[in-house]
Amino acid sequence: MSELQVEIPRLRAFGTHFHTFGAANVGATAETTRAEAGQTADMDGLLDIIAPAIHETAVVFGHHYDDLATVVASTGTALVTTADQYSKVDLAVAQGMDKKAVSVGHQSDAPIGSGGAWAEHRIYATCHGIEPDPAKKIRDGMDADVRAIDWVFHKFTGHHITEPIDAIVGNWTTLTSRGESWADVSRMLRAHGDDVLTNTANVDGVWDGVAATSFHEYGVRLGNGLHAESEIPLAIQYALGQLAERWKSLYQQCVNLLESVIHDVEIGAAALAAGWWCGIGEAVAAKKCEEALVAFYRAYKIVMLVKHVIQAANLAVKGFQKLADLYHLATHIPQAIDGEVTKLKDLIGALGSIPGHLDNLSHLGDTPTRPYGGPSAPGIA
Amino acid sequence: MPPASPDGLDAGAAIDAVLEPLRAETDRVDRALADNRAFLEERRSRGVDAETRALLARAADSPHAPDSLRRVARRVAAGEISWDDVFAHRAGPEGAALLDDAFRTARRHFADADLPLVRVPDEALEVGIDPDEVADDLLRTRVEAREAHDAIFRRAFEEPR
Repeated sequence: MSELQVEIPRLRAFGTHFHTFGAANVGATAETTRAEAGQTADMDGLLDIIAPAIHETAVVFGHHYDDLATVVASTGTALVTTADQYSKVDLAVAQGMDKKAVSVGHQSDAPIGSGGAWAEHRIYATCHGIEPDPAKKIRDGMDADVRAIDWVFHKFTGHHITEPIDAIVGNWTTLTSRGESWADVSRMLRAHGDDVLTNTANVDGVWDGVAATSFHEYGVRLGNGLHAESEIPLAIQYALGQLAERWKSLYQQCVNLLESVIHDVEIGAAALAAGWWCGIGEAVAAKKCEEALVAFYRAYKIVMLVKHVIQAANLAVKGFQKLADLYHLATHIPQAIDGEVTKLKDLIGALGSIPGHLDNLSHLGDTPTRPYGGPSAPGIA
Repeated sequence: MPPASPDGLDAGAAIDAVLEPLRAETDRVDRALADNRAFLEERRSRGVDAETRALLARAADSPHAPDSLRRVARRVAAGEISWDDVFAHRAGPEGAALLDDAFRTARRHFADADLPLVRVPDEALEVGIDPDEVADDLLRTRVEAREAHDAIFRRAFEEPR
């Protein structure tokens, strides 16, 4: 006969805590994901390419975290139910031995807080604002230089100098800001994992036996799973950060290339004037504009690179959605607990035939003994 | 290193697989950035070509040349400044005055002139893009992306509360 120890009121209190923790704390992570990490109202221009994926991914993970919250809350419910079943078994055993035994306790007699060292962190997400569009500042000086000579470039090439940079529209700091929101989500998940692991260890102190061992394995699995899950929002932040960084570098270099165009065209404009002053400048001006086209074409290629890197980041953000389905870490209440509840119910049914069974109590198996040992234990008269 | 998931899934490997195409693209961007940096460095080191320098020196001797050109040409001849300084806006007020005069003169006499478009040089064609195609493609992409993004907000308003 295996030995089992359980402090029923404390197990029940831990269950209550787990339920509240799941519904409120883990549930808040789901809401933060949808409301903050999935915010796209401030995205426009080329950011429109990636905005739907950011929104959809936040919705997918928000729902996934809803499921996690349900699982954690259900874990609490299962612990409470288990504690109740232990109480009923003890009452049944007591009544089997003494027909006058009555239950005077109730699960509400185990007050919140009696679960011992319950530990819980609350990580609050903040609203991360965006910076004023940095593109404006980067191109300010260039725009001043363009005004006097753009007509020269247009006359010789049919293009306007700022065409490439005008095409790169969008404030990439929104990506950084959204990445910080995903990092908040990651911190929340990691804290949930820490809390689950800590409190699983705390439950160990009030419950042991076969079912408790299974619960321990489940709790460790759930806690580690939450830690693993916390890496995904961090990876999303990384992807958005990589895009923002490259976008900024490409934009800056596009401006540098166009400044090279401006430099060539200024020489071309001076050559045109010199041609007017001494009669032979048009050919030199044309040649300078021809040379300027090399930097101009390179600037246009940057436009394509910006589009391609946005599309690659877009695919990555969409790809993360699939990872939400890969984690089956806790899509159901642990079977170990379910099994224990069933087993205890069966046991109560069997005890209904006492005293016939009193001559053979060995089948009681995991019936609570110490420190919860019978009618004198808390909750049972 | 991310921990393995409870189901034995290597979270790090799964994340790496998702990020791989993005990393390939950012590598491509980094190579393009380096190539353009080298191009710009080479362009900056060239300075104003001999043909243009000779043209400006000759124009300075013209009776039609403005005072600004004559003054700058004298300083260049004296070795005080170079034509590169003028076009790099490092030649002080005299250099700025010359550029103002030059741009104004060019505009006055050539803005309405019928000048042929220049040939696109091979070095530009080697970049491998057509500016008009890029512009059209980007415009199309932006319209489609805007539509897809707007749809999110339309759905939000249409969904029953």
